[in-house]
Amino acid sequence: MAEKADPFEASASAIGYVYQLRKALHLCVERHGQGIDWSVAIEAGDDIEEVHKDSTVYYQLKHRAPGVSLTDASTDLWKTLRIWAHAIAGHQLDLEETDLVLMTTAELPSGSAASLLQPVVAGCRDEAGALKALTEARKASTNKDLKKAFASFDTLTEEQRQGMVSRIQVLGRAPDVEAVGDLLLERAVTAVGHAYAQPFLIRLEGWFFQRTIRQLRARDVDAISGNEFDQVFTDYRNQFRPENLPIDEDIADLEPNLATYSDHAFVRQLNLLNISAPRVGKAVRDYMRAFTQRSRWSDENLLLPGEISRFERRLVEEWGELFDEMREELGDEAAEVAKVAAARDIYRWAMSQVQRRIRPDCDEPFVVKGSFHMLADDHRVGWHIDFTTRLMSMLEPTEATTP
Amino acid sequence: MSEFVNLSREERALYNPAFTAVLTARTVQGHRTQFGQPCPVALAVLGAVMALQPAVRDRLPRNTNAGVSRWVEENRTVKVAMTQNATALAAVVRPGLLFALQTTLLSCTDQGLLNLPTGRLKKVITGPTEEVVAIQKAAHMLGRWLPSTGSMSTVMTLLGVRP
Repeated sequence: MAEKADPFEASASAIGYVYQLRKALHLCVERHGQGIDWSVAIEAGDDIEEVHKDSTVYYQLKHRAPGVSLTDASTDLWKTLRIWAHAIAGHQLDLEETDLVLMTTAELPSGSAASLLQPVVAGCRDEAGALKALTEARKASTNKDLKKAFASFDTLTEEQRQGMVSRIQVLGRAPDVEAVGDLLLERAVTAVGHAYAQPFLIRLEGWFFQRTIRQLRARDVDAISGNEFDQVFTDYRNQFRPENLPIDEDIADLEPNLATYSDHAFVRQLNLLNISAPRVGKAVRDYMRAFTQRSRWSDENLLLPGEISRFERRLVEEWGELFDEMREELGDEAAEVAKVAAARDIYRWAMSQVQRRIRPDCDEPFVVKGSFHMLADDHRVGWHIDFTTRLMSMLEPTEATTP
Repeated sequence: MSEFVNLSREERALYNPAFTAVLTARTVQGHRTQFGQPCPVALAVLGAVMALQPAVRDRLPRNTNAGVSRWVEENRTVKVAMTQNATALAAVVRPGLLFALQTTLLSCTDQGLLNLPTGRLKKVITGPTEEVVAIQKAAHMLGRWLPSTGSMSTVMTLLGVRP
């Protein structure tokens, strides 16, 4: 196949992996509707292993180009049989409690072993006929690549073979990687509506991929349980309700490079107050997180037009009241020490006491704090009573040298 | 929304007058391709307002043969989105329209209709991102399509908005 054309061509395998992950996620979403008493694992016993209270399903997935058929002598079929036969011979697989599912995007030619092993509802299931076809194919084939598969098949007793075949279900013309994506999107639409389905699904897939990587790297991490999936799914869905906005974990984990921000107006505003370096560091972090998260909300059209402006207006107004009060109390003759102390009070208020939220349930603190820093960066709010003139005078030397 | 300086950074980036000016001009351009006449001001604003909303833009029909009233009937979310967003968006589109008139991207006839002087806006729609192109295409399409159902007041009533 691809090996002959280009030995390094791996797009087919890459699609295979993505397909496996998506299909596993789709299984989770489907099972989610039926209860929470299940678990799904990738590459545990098989491509996907699904465990219920008293039964297990092993899935083998094959993603093939359109027009490919799963014949009796096909590599896909025999490699799958090899895996199962090996597990049965090694007693790793209890046929009494395990269903074996081969899911392929390929066609099942009529009369082939695979077509005879379709689920009963297809109306043509014939286990004895399928086993006969497999045995004949095994005798007729001289394919060297399948030597090991045939050997595994041969080690099984007649009874074991019958047992295995009785548990196999072949699903042909399964939805391919894009179609599974569409099915997932449909589910996402029912959960959060058309407008948010795509961003919701991106986050759910992101979590699922990360979770799977953790499971694959550290074998002690458990399979994804129905309970865990239910929690994550509900949590993401709640973030897309009208009174909430999603906070992305990658953003909540961002740690900035402080040096690149030292020239920003909001940092200079803090320097007027002699704020210590660690606290400036926190301010920069909040600024960057809020900036990134707000941009992402905008890019994904999660905000209503004017929503952020309204939020900012409220922050500015609340700040304005305190600022005017400070101006009154300080009077015209205040000493610098008193000015700084008053400014630090306002800054403390902005960082810890402001109750405003962009939406009622979006309670992540960095949104308010970072938004204040963004406003401070635009000189729309400030902490020091003379912040406007002080910031201007800081700019002057640079401007004076520019012709 | 009030003055431009009071908009958040994100909104200043998306709803800047230069861009909304182009959108009104695209609607006028679309209108002229289809009807060969100057375009009503309300339509230019409406086209831009609708094009800016993904919930509306993504549901537009492929061609101009579709009936507007039936489309609104079948896509009820459009009306919801318009009720929710139209006022705020019209407030950012109007400065764009003024900007377009000031810079003679558009001109105004004695009857208060809008014209696009020849050579002021290329027919081919390009832009730095897919979204920027999609919004302009939607505005152009709306200029060609919206008036096909009858008067502007009918269209606006269907959408639940008024000028």
